Amino acid sequence: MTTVSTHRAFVTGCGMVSPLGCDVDTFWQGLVAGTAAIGPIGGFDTTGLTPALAAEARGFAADRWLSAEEIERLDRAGQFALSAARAALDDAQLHLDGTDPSRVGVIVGTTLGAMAIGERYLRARHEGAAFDARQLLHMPYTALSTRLARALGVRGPVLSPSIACASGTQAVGLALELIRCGRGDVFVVGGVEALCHFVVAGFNCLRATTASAVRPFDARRDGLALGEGAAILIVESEAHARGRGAMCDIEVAGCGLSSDAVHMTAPARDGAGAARAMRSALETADVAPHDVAFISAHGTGTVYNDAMEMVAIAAVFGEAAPHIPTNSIKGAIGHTLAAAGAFEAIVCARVLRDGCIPPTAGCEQLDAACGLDIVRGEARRRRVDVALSTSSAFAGNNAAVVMRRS
Amino acid sequence: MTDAVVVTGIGVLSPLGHTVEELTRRVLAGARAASAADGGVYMDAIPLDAVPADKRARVGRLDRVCRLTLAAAFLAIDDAGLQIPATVAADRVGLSVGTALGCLLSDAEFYEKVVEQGPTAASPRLFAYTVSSAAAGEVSIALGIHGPNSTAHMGLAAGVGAIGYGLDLIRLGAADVVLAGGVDANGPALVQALQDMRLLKTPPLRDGTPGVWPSEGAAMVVLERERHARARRARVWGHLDGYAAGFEPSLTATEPMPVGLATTLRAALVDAACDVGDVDVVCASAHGTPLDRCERAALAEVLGDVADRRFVAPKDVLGECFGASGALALAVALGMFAQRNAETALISSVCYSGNVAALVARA
Repeated sequence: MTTVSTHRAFVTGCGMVSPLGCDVDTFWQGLVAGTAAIGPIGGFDTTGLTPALAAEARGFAADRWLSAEEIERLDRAGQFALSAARAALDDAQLHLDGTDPSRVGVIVGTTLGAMAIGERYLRARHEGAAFDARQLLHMPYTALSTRLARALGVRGPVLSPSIACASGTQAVGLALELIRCGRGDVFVVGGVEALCHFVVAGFNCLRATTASAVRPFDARRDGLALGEGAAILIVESEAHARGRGAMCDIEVAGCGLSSDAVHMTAPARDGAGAARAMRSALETADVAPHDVAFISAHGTGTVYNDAMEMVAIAAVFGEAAPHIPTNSIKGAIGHTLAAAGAFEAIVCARVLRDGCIPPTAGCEQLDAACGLDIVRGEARRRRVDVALSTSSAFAGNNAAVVMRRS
Repeated sequence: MTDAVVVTGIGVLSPLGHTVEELTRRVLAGARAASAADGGVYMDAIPLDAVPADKRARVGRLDRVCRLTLAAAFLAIDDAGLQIPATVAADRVGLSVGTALGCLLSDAEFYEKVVEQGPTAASPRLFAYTVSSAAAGEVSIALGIHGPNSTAHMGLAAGVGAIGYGLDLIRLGAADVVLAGGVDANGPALVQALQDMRLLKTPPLRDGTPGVWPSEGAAMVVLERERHARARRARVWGHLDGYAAGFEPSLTATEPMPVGLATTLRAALVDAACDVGDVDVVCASAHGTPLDRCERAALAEVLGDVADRRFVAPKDVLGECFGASGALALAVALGMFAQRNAETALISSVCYSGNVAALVARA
């Protein structure tokens, strides 16, 4: 009978394409400086879209990591994903040709995939215009991760977690779970989104978007702005990482998932679902709430999400809650949907390694109801040994991961 | 956590019946589903008998993939005789759904309106269902499931992948019961897109040309820690002993030996601690396309002489049920166990994308 192991999993490399810059260092400098990369959308025609603000990956240079043939073949999201994955493997100094490919997997989430192709197809049908329908082969949400798997020569498990805005956090947790279940040694993990007309129209019609600035946990917060990019982490079993002499200093120590089971689009007011996911992540990491020294909140900047998180974090951390530095990166790079949790996991890794907590861009007048220590204004220097990242999503999905310095 | 995992409930919705018995009988008899005028297979009506009366109005308003998932979930929970939270705590029940297309039909419906009438006509009601996790979200609300809730895309292998993840959640101790399965809905927009891609195909399928005969379905199984199931004296359909997933980039190439698929099939048998010789039925993907050569080669490589065993090809009669396919194949295997037609099944699930996965089930 098969039993699960207590194998440990470490983050050995990170790569990204982000609105603050297309490598982790540039992103980090922008984040620490409190820069907001949100502005008028320039990537497509925004006629009829009000508001039309987002954080776009404007500095993206496809030829940095991709061949001319790959640039030709891949859609924008595919280019983001492969660029970030190559950067992460480079950061990990990992050459996959030296690893048994059946022990390497890809876990990359997306909520939009190649949606821009679908948009063009439906417009062409409406207008009776010609369209090369073979492009629709990019449409299934799994296509992003399978194209990545093909390009990287992977033969292990390949999947796209799809719990909407919590997918990136689930992806990081899945790598730990699959390593513990013996299903692989190395996972290319994360999320990717390319901004498109479809999703801006969607969040606008929900009246969830701001016309000014994203202000997580601020008294004046009035909505989110969307963002785009790719965030990829290399998560490796301890044995594999040590076997090749890689540094094992940032551990994915625990993870948890839960359902609100209350409402499809509104967060549960009592935060019970998010609290369950956080508690489960702490339990699997064997960490007590008061050991946590940094929380990366979901912090979308909508009235109800942030209010829910204030309650949920207070419930989990109790008396410690007001003393744990907490931030949200969505004031800086917007809500990158399935990529958000992966960006936040990279932030946790960097906080653990550097002992520096970036401020929450956009948060100036803290909501009086917020009993949390929201880092704002200046970055804060502080040694952090354990960090927790939490995400919540449409359909009542919650995911959390605990990361640890060792 | 060394407990074995058993299946204590099954809910199936398929073009060939909405009970395990009927589905198994018709698949084994080779009675092919009928295509509609556009070439796709659709279920006439989605039976909501197992959905409690007070929830039917809400279920009836949902999009097709949500209705299919909910109806199958209620059938499975009913079949397992579970009441949440009376017989199992809400936070010890997980949910794992696999889908190939997920919300794509709702995406199309939402955006067609934007194309025709502009962004101001965008529907918030439809937008809420443009995430593939919507179906599992509805199930969690309707059944009061508070534990881990996962939806994942893995191409046509998504149903098998979701059931495999359910097994992992129980092994990891994250849940005692997991409602797991696969689902996908058909619709005119999908059939039209396949036609535009020149990939729409109709039976007979065994001509080795690429293409898809689009169909639909949902199969959810209740996976339960054996100790938990025995303690409440639940009926056991069978054991879920093993799972593996992998990637096979050469599926559509002419390379003779699909190493990734063979490795995955073997890994599932190892995970199950199952002797190759014990496998007496193979439920294969058998698409009726050039992929089959690759799948047959891998099965022969792993199992030796395939001719000794029952070989079941549900897609030949059901059509392509996408993410539901592998879950429906497991239901057929469990149906054969109930008829004492077989004792150990290997379920092979392969996708054009390169996603491959396998399950090992035992009576």
